Amino acid sequence: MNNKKIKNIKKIDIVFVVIVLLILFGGLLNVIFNSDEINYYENRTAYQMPKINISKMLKGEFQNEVELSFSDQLPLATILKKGYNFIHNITPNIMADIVFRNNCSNRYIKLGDSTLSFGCNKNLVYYDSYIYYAKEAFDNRIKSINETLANTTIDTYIYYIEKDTDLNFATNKKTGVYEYLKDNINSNNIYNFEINNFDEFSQYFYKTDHHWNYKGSYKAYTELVNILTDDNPLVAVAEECINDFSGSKASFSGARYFYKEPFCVYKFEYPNYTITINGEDGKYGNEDYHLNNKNAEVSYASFYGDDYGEIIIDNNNQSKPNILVIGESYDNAILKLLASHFNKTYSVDLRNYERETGNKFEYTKYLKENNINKVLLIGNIDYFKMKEFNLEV
Amino acid sequence: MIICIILVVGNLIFFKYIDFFIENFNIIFKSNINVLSIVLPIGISFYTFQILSYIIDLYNKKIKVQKNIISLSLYVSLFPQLIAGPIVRYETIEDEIDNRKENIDDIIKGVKRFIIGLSKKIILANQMAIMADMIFNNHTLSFGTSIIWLGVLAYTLQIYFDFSGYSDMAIGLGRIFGFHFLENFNYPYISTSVTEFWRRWHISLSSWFRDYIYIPLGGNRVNKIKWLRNIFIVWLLTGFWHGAAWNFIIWGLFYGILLICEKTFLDKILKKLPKFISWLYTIIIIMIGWTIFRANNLTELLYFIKVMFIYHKTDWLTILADNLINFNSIFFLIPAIVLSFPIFKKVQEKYSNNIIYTIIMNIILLGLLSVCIVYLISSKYNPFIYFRF
Repeated sequence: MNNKKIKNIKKIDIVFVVIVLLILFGGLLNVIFNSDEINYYENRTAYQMPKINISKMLKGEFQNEVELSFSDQLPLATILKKGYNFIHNITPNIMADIVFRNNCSNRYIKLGDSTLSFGCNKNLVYYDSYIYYAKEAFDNRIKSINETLANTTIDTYIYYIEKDTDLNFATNKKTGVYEYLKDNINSNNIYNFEINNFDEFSQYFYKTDHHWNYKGSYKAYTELVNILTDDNPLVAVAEECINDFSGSKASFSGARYFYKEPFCVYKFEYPNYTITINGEDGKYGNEDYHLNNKNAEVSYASFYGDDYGEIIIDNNNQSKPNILVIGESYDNAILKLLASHFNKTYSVDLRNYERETGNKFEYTKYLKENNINKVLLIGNIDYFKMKEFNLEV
Repeated sequence: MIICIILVVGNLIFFKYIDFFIENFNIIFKSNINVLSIVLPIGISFYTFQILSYIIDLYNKKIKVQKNIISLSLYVSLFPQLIAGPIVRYETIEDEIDNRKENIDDIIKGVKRFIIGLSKKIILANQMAIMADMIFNNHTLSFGTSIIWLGVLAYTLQIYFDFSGYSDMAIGLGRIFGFHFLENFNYPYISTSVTEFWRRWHISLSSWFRDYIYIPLGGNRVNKIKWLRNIFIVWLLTGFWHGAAWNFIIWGLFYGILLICEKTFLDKILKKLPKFISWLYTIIIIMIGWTIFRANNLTELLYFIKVMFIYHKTDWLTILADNLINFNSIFFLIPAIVLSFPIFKKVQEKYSNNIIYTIIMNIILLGLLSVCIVYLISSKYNPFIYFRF
């Protein structure tokens, strides 16, 4: 081989090494000096390069944090992750279409690391979850609820929302979480949003999101009106489907575009409310906006409203009682409906109350100060096992 | 020398094997001694053997004493191969420790070798690991003969690309810094006998046992009983080196028995058979070996062996429904099988001096590096099998 050829090959190889070094060191410099604070794709705070810490290093935490910061901060990380998730999700989806074409009914199909479907329609679900997975957490919550009930004379109603985690769709065997709560909570005012099979679930819950859909939330509302009042429920004036949307379960897959469904709603004529959010006048939910802008991106939270620490909906009707609703995101869809049956509806989400209002939530004091006549504790399985929802009396 | 060996080996026994001995002592004598649960220092098996080779070679005057403690420490703790091998003997890098000269040619070759190793690990080994772990760790009664063989095949490829990938990275990194380590793998899955397989697999370990255990014991230049004893000891230790568990010991002895069979009569038969048949025999033996190696316990091992050889129907629909995402890895199976054969080695030999080939290869390597970065960013799955050694 002649010298010129050897020199040319060497030049090509040097260029190659320089490009490799640029990729590696360019990425490193970006991670250290140009890091982002938020990872928008994964909807969370972005990991930063950690400061050197011997103790963390010995535990391996430092190394993990370095890896996480690289995974968040490397140039084009989001594009790379999106591409990876697309490829990672495309094959299971295609394989599911082919393999389970004639064998999809009554079957759970694991489409991704955090993506599970049931049936033929790529309806995303969670596996059934039993008491023994978190017995201690359930028991602590039950103890807390019983203490709350023992320390107040105000009528307190408990509404447990059954969903995919409450039964095995393949066998229709229920997990018995509601029955366990009913047996152990010292109250006769405990009710449930009942789901007995997959057909009911798919009728009342989104395909791609963990929340109930408009039909589910309306059913719950009508049940609650019967439980809490002697009124008739509000009746929808119209039913409309807005844009397609992908919910939280689709987001877990990292490839939302594979899982879409129409976002349909009932339209109601609400009374004229005065709404206060975390102490400030506000508007809860964006129903009008989405109904008038059907191409806008829509989600459960953007349509019905966020999980604010405190929402007060004033119906300006002093002939009616006041209610305190202590719940989580499931109640967002029914708050404005419920509020039409009360004078003032106070909604508290204990996960956010103290952080957003700057005050500690003191239950007994809150009841007295706001002249609360009824209390509704409402939530799904997580609400009845997370200590964040415990009330201090 | 004996004191040094006792200290170094004692250190290895204490950290790696003491709990195994206590557990078995408790079982045999029905005692209740608490295990120590000591965290295993990373790479202890590798650097212990490096230190031993230094001590023994020094005693045998094959090398000169290294009086500079920093240079000696550099040899023992040389980071490219510290945690995952290959086992580098002092004589291999004796001169380079003090007098190495880094140059651009070595840097180019080192970078390329590193990217090849990284790609083997991240792209092939990790994908095969997903398949193998699914079958070995989550098997149920739905798992029949066909999928168990698939799992064994996946693990066979995983362990090769994992370990040879780390060796490539070590050799590449070493080369960037001016060290020239010896090769550790030479396409072991093309072997047509178990003897040949062990000449091509983890070469630094098998040659270490040959030079520091087998030959000092007399090798094959002794009577038949002693020769059999020598082979038995070497393979018992080889198995034990890989881990403090009975399946590793069984795995070592499995190979010891097979090598004795080959050396006494089987080799002559294999040489008369068509090469494909010899290869098939070897690869099936290797796969059974990896089943012994990978099984989580002896009960599971017996179950796997039984299902591998007595037909049991696989409920593919149930398995796919529960593990569809893991079957992404199946697309890497064919490339992994192809790349375990020396096809590209032959292409490389033919075209390495061609400019177009160099450009294409460099583009491919940059592409592989990018894919590795994508996998490292997007996937948390990145265990290294040989850390436990």
